[in-house]
Amino acid sequence: MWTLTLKGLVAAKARFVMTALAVIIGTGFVAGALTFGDTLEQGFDRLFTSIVGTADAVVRAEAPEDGPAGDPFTAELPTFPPGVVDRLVALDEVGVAEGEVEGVAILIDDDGEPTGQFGPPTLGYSAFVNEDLDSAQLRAGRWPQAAGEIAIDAGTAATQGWEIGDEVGLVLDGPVERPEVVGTFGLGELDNLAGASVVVLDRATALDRLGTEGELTAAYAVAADGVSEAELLEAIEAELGEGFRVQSAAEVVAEQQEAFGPFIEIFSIALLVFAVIALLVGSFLIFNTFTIVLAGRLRELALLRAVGASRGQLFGSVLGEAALVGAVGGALGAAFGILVARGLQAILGTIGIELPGDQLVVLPRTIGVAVVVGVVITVLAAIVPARRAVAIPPVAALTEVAVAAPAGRGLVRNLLGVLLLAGGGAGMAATLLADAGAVTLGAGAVALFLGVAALSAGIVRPLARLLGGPSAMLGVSGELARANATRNPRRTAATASALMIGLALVSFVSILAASLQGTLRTTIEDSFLADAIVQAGTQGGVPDTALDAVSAVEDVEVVAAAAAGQVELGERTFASSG
Amino acid sequence: MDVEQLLAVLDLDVTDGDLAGLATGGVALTESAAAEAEVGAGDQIVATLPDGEATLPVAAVFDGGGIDVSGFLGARTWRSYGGSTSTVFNVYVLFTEDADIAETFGAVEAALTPYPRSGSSTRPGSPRRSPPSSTSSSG
Repeated sequence: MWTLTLKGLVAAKARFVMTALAVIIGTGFVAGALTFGDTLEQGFDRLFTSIVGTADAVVRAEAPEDGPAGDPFTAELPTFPPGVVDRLVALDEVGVAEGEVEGVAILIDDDGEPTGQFGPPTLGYSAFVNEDLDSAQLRAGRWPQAAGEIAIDAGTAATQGWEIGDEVGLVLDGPVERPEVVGTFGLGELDNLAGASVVVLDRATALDRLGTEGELTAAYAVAADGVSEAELLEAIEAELGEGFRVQSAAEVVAEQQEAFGPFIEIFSIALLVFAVIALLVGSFLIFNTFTIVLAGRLRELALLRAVGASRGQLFGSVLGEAALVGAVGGALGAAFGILVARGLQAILGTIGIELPGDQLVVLPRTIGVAVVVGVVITVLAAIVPARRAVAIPPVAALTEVAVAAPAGRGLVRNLLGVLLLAGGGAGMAATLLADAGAVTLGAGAVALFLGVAALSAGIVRPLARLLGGPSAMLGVSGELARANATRNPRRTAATASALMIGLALVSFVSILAASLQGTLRTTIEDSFLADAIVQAGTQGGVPDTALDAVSAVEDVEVVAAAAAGQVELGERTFASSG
Repeated sequence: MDVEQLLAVLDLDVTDGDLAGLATGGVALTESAAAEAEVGAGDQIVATLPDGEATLPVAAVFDGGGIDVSGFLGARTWRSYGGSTSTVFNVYVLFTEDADIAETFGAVEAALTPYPRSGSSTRPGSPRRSPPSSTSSSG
């Protein structure tokens, strides 16, 4: 039977190429999502390890015990006095220690706009005295030593076309100023981190201007010769007591990896949604291909039944064809997934988001998943055509008359279609009316599609007759086209289903975007009494001096400034404005 | 911002309670936030604020469509529980009744020129006066 399976594949290779293409696209997105996620994960691992650098211990001030875990709105880090570093240096267990200041520093491009507006972070740091502790490496120039000098990440310098000696726009705690770029730097293999712009200031300026009121946000320590990491951590904890978090380099890396987990997940989920849609559309194509191929081989199958092949053997042979096509498509899909991941990196790169991980990480698991998904989808889509084909009686081999589908099958299909339609509609309604969740919405949409596809065979014939009317008037070709469309309604319906999903998705996105825009515009118009809204372009917020400047404008009556923060209610965290 | 300022610049569609309760330590929540927390006006909620847990009365519930926060606390309440007011993200500016909208808006933009990290935009579709022809950012 395997010989027969292979012959079947070779005989209809052109059609199976199309089937494989559908599998390749679907599994390609699955493999791309996995590859991109694995590459990011490994890249961030290396990056975080390089950021911690040679430090054995990292010290930060403890956030309030029962306060919110973090405040992405204010981006304020707990601080501690510089004297803490002197206490660390005085410890016998400490070889080298140095403090760091972290805050917000916004570079202004040559058009006067902030770099990274509404996007990645705009960070400012103090320069290190002990370069051994510095995780950044100079690419050109030197580190800043006085006010009016800055070093910037090499990625931002390249994007903006800035060079050593250029005077560039910078906002710290007031209006724009123009310090001189004296150095550019990178972090490990990267010139830039995910599009963030990073500015390094001399220590005195950083302490004075990064909003920490002269305090440090972190301290790094290296163990003295012969002192283990555990002994170092214990000694620092004993010296500093409560109010500080003393972590090993590995703990800091693990914490940062955990923080970036959701970021990686977003990309992977978006790609997997594409994959599910591509596989759904592809399954209709696969179903159709097998239906057409098997319809052309009915007499051959009947002949095999006549010479003794059982239905089970024929069924297995057809599903074997499907499994082979799925396996080949899945393997090629894994290769296509590498292109998808590389393409995604390139797209993000063109919009200034450089992510860690130059070399794509393709795990054996990714190839395995792509092949398994390819096989499963293809076999599932081929089951119905295969069952229909092997139901052929041996006597059909002796006749030219087409074999009709058993009576009652249409009734079952229609019943199933109605049930799917009702279930899908209920799922979507539950989501829209009772917020049943994205999974219910997705399942409802898929059920709705399948229901329409199952029922569409019933309306194809009258619809094709009606819509094909004008083409039939054009001549023989038009008449043949209409006749072909009406002769096998199920085949026509299956073909149209793939197109239906595509069009439905395009319509869905268009309607959703237009509805959201319309609703939002109306609500904003109804809710806001203010004549102007000033919004912070970056996470640095709107400075007080800017508020004063607006208040001083003639005919400005009210300037209402809202500070944003997080309030935890039960298990939920809400953004709140005070 | 304080409660008077909030009422001056935002016309919130209150579906339950009264925004005036913000002045006495209450919290106003959007409908979706209130539904998530399963509370209504008059209920007490336990909120974890920067300085720790606090039990606050829900003063009002409002339709949050178009508002990019989940709720409001009075500035005094926010500060009293350790909330920072150093990072301002939204500034709502109301002009005087007889102000020339386009001219005043231009003056606001000019005042913000030295602060490129703050963009300004007009409130669209004012019923009492026409906004400038285009929405823009200060440069």
